Amino acid sequence: MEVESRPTFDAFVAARGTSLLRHAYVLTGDRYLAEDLVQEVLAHLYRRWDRVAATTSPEAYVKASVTRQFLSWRRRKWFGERPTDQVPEADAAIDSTGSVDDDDVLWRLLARLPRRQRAILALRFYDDQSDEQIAAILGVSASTVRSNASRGLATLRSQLDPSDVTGGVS
Amino acid sequence: MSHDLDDALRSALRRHAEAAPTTVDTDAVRHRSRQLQRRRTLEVLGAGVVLVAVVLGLGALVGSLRHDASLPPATTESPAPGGSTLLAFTSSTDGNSPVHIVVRAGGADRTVETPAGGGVTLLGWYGPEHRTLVWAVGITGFREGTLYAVTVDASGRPTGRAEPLRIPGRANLAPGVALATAGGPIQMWTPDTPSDARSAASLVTIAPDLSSATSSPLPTGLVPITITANEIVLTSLDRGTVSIGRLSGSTVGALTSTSACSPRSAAQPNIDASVVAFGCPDGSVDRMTLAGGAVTHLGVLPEGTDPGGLLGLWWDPAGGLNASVTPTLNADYSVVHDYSWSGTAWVRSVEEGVLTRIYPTGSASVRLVKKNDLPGNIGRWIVESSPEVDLGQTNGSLVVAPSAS
Repeated sequence: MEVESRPTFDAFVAARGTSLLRHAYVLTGDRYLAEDLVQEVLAHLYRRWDRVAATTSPEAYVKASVTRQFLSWRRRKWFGERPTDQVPEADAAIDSTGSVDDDDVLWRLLARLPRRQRAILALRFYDDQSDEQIAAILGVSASTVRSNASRGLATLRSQLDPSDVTGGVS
Repeated sequence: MSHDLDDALRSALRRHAEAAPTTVDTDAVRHRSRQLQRRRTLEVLGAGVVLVAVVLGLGALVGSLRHDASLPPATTESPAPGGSTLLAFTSSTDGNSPVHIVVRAGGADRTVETPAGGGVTLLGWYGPEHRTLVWAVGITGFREGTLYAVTVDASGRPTGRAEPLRIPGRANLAPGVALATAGGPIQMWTPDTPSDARSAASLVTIAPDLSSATSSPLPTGLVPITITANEIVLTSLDRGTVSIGRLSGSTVGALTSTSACSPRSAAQPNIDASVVAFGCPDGSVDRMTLAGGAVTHLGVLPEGTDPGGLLGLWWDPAGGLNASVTPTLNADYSVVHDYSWSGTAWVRSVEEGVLTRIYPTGSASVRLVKKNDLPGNIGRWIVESSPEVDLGQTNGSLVVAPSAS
C-alpha cells in the first residue's frame, strides 16, 4: 500500500519558498513587502500545517492565501498606498519592439492599478490561472474576474497608447 | 502595442519576478506564528463581545419593527423624529476604508468618526436616556481595547466629538477586554500591567448610567470569554482551561473548573443564557452548562478541521445549535456552509452563506451574510422582518438602544 507523502513545513518552504516569494513579488511590486507577506501567511498556516499539507496542492493553497492576504483591507493601511483607476501618465513611452524598457514601464503601471485588478492580472498572466480558477481563489464570480481584468487592461492600454481608449475605464 | 499587451504583461511579470527575494526566513515565520497565536487568543476573547451586544440590543429593534412598520429603509434620509429607535452599526465606505460608526435614528444616518488603529466593537447605548454610545477600539480587545463614547440628542445627532470614555472619580480607564450584558453594566478585564496579559488583573464594572465604576481582583492569568447577568466564563491564556465564576455585582465568586476544551472561537450563550457553546481546536464543539459547568463534547464539524474552519456558532429559538464553517481555500468567508446539531451529529443546512444568525424574539432573526463582491471579511447585517432592514456594510457589530420610544 502506497503511503501518501505530505511535505513537512520546512521541506515545503525549502522547495517552494522562492516560488511563493515570486508570486508575492508580482502582487506587491516590492521585495520587502513580498517577504513580509509570505512570512505573514506562512506564520498563519504554520500551526495548522498538517491540514494544509493534506490538501491536494499545498502550494496552490498557500499561494491563494498569499493573494487573499494581499487583498485584505488591513493590508492596505500597512502598504500605505492609494490604488486608483486613474493611472498617471506612463513614465516613458513604449516602443513596438518589446524592449526591456517596455517591461519596466508595464511593471510600474501595473503597480499603480487598483489592488484587485493587479492581482487578477498577475494571476492570469504570471500564474497562467484561468478566470474560473482566479474566481475560486478570490471568492468572486468569473464574470467579476473578467470585468476587473478588462478594466485593468483598458487602463494599461490607455496609458501605453492614449489614442486607444476603446476599453474605457470605469 | 495594445494587441500585444497580454504577451507584454507576461514578459514583464516573469522578468521582474526573477528579482524577487529567494529565501524565506523560517525562524522569523515561527516567531511570527507564536505572536499570532497569542494575538489570536486575545482576538477570540474580544470577539465574544460583539454577539453579546447584538443579542442584547436586537430584542428592542425587532420589537420596534413589529410595532412600527413604517420604519424606513436604509436609503431614506428623512428627518429623524424625536424618540425614535437609536441604532448604531459599524461601517466602511467600500470595505477597504477605515471603519466608522453610523448612528441611525428615524431613518437618518449620521457618521461618527472613530480613532484609527484597530477594529471597532460596539458595546451599546448607556448613560441617561441611553443616549451615549460606547465602543471599544482595538483589534485584539487587549492593550488597544480603549473605550470611546459619543452622546447624541433625541434625533440621533451627536452633541460632540467621540472621546475616550471618562467615568467620574476615575482618572482613566485602562485598556482591556470589554463585555456587555443586556441592560447591565459594562464589564472590563484590565491587566494591572497593560503590556502583560499574564499579570494580575481586575474586573472593572461600569454602571449603565456611566456615573461610576468599581473594580475587583480577578485570578491571575484568566481572561473572560463571555459574560451573562449572573456568570462570567474565563479561560487561561497558557493552558486554555475554562472556568465559570458566579457574579455578584462586580465581584467574581469561587471558580468552577470544567473539562471544556481550549476555546478556538468566542463563546456564544443561548437565548436564556443557561448554556454556552464554543469551537475547539480539533474542529469539534463544546456545549457547557453555566450552572455547574457540565460539558458535552459534540462531534467534529464537517469541514471544521479545514484551514478555513469554524466561523461562528449560534442558537435557534428551540435551543438548537448551529454552526457556520468555511471550506479550504475560502478562509475569507466567500463560501460559507451551515450545519445544525441534530443531537447526535452535525447536519448540513439547506441554507448557505450565513455567518451567524440571531433570534432575539421568536421567528424574527438577524443574519450576517457575506457580500461577495467586496474584498475582506465584510458582511451585511440583515434584519429579517417586515419590512426588511438592510444595515449595509458592516464588520459585524450592531447595537440598538433599549428604549424604542
